[in-house]
Amino acid sequence: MALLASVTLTPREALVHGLSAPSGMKLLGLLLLAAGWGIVVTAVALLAGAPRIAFVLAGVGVEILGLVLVIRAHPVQRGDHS
Amino acid sequence: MNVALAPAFPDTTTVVCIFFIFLVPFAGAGLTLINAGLGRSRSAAHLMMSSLCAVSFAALAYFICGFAWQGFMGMPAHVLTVGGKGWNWIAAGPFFLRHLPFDGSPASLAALLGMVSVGLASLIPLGSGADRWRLSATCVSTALLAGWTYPLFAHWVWGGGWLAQLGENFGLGRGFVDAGGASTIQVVGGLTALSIAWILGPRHGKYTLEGMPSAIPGHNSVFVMFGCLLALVGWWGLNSAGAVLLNGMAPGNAVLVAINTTLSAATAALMAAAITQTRFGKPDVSLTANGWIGGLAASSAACAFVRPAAAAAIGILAGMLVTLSVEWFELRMSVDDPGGAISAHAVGGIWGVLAVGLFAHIPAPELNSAGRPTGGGGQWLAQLVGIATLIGFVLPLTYGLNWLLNRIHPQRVAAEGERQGMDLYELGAGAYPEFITHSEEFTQH
Repeated sequence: MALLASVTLTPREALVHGLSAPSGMKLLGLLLLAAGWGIVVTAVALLAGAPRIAFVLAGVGVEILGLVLVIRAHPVQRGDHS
Repeated sequence: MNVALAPAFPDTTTVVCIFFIFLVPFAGAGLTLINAGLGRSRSAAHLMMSSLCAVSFAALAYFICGFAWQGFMGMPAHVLTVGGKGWNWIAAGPFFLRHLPFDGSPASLAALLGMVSVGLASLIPLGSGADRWRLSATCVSTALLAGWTYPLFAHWVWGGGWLAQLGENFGLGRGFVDAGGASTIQVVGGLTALSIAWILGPRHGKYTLEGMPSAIPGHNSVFVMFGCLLALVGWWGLNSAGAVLLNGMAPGNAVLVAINTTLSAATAALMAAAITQTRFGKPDVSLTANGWIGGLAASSAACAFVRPAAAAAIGILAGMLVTLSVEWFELRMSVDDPGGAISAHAVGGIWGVLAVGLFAHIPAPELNSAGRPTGGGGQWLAQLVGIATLIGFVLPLTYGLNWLLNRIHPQRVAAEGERQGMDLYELGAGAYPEFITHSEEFTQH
């Protein structure tokens, strides 16, 4: 529930509702960033033509998902500095 | 592992390159003034001191191990072979610049350019960490950036690494192209700034308990605007040196590079001013300055390969992106970035890298070692792979290093230091002592 809220709410909304990001959220986001990059590099090395483009775009998509997780994990955790 | 050392330049090209590189510190001076001006007056001396220390640590770390890991085309490197293709991932040069001939050879010029470039990159995170980043932590974090993160990515792009070889090995255009350091300097510095902003957290009083941001205006807009003009001179040198030294352009092309750099900055600043005029009724100084720097950052990658009209278009979009992303980071993502470093350098730089794939006319393709043309389509894909590497590899790397440093040596100043001001707390003296109200015994009657 908290995980879902952290992903769907903006940091400010989460702060207002007293929700904090799960401790693993940041790590999960960073791992997704690295995994997305792995997909991109693997696609470049092993594929060609349209499949290569599709997998590179998929890898970038995974990175964006990871970036969203990391971004949304941080400010909620930093609310204690307000 | 590479086939041959880069050929020596004619004397005139060497002299021109040295002149261009000597201009680059002006960019650093400009960024320092901008960061100081956008911060609080009670932390101004601390920021200037941090800037000087950061540049010093960056130069030292780059001298010790940075250039050894960055290398240059034709110098020894570690290469992994996967599927018959070489993946050149890190240089294998000697530490302390040993065995490097200081005679104006391309390798020695690359070492000089790298030393000033890494100094410039090290100044970028100071903008996002202003008013709360301890001096000692700044120095160690800079050493990590200059000794490891920057050299590794710079090798991939400028040292004949795997990103530069995407064209030859996988037919992706001419490989990842970045003439003036939009990725290696601006985005790497900008992503480090983002990591620092996350780790430090917002300044005390920046956000209310409800999460609403409050404005903490910069203390000296004259510094900010003068810094912008100073940065332009530095960027002329940076982009021109990169184009000539790292991309094989003739020195005369510096005219096109300078025109493109200026146009990109100009249109970006005007776009930022227009957006803030439309939204707030008056043009905003700090956002216009951020737009200017964002335009400069965006210009770096494609400056040698686009027509002036395309450079102006790159600047227009950079101005829009930077202005909107500053607000997005502050309002939506609660990232406190006093200097706008994340938006100007990371967002602007990423757009500039992508713009190479969209606008650049790179010189005619050559044949690779297998007799296959290296140019043609796929340039945008090579640029996208580079961007994916920045976000998927460099960001976790720089975040992880700074997170580890924060565990060992907390990077944020104590609450008392933030309340008192970084100048008094860490340096014992302020930037503007004449502003202090003295007690009776110090005044002359």
